[in-house]
Amino acid sequence: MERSRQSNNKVFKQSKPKSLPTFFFSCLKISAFTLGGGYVIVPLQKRRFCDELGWIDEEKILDLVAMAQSAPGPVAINASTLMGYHLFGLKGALLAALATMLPPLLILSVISLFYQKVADNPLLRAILRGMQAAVAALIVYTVWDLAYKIWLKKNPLQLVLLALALVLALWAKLNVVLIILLAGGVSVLAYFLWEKNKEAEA
Amino acid sequence: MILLKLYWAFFQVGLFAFGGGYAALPLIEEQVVHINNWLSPETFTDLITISQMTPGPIAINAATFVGIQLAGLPGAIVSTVANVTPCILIVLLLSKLYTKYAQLPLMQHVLQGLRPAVVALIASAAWSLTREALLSSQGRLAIGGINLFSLAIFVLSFAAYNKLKKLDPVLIMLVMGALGGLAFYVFKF
Repeated sequence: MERSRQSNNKVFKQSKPKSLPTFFFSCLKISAFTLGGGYVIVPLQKRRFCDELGWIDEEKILDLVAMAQSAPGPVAINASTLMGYHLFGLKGALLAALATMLPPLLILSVISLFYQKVADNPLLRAILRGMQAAVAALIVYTVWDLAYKIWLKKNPLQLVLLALALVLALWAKLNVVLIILLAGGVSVLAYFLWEKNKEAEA
Repeated sequence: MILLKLYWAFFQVGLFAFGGGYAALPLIEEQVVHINNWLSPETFTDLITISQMTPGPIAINAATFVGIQLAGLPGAIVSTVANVTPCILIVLLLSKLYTKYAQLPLMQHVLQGLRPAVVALIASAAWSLTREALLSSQGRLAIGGINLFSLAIFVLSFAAYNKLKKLDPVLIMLVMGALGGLAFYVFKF
């Protein structure tokens, strides 16, 4: 049987053919605009690789983000490396990492030469403030969108975990990896409980 | 010699920085300010400010910044590569595991459970970012600790993302940034 690299590719109505150069430049652009924190990469990736190009679906992206958060290091690097591996294998992963590293490397190298002026410049700070508010709104919008979709599914386990994780993250301020481990543990538990029920009923 | 030290310092940061940018800060500070005395505490604070203004994770920005100061461009490259090496390796390992085991029903179940947890974690990041963007006692347009101009931009952007779904969010970010600059000239806040 012929093994095709694209054999596990879902077919979307609007999906465009996968192209490594397109991917590389998309990562470059995304990295150039990941301002104010690594998590911004999630809506940017979702929009580019899911909505515009149709190369990956939304749920897969969340799986990738879960893995990105389980590993050390900047979420942005992890997320793009994972995306690269998922779409193009090892070479995709390495190219994605490179593409994500380049913009900050270059921009900051230049800025660090006169950083004092940059840090103190009031006009730049005002522009930054405007962008920060826009970035915050983007992430809030994305969270609202994702949470709403979970709500629509009416899966009890997911809803419970959503509520639980929200409390732990926002109120208890628990460590990211701990929350992921907990959610994983609860899922495993639920799996064995449900399975036993099903076997009993069968 | 300095390159080796840079490599080792940022390799450690990369290895232990779990949980996103702000979690990495104490690690970076420890390596850069306390252990190696490469930056003064004041310069470190400047670095954090700049890191907010420029794209890129704080860890990479710190690596680049320190690297350039100490050893020019080669230094920047060495520290950045050092920072990402552990995470790339671990991430590749996770990817291999995912490809191998994701099809199992148990794994499918676990992944299903992880999705809402991830959404909650992103929500937590959204909350911090929103607080930081909106809370400011400075400026003439602040009421109750909330900067009204930032709030207006926030609401406008949110509406834009919601209604103008075809529009590139990056464009919206740039426009809002420009508005911020404009407001500076008009309102001087």
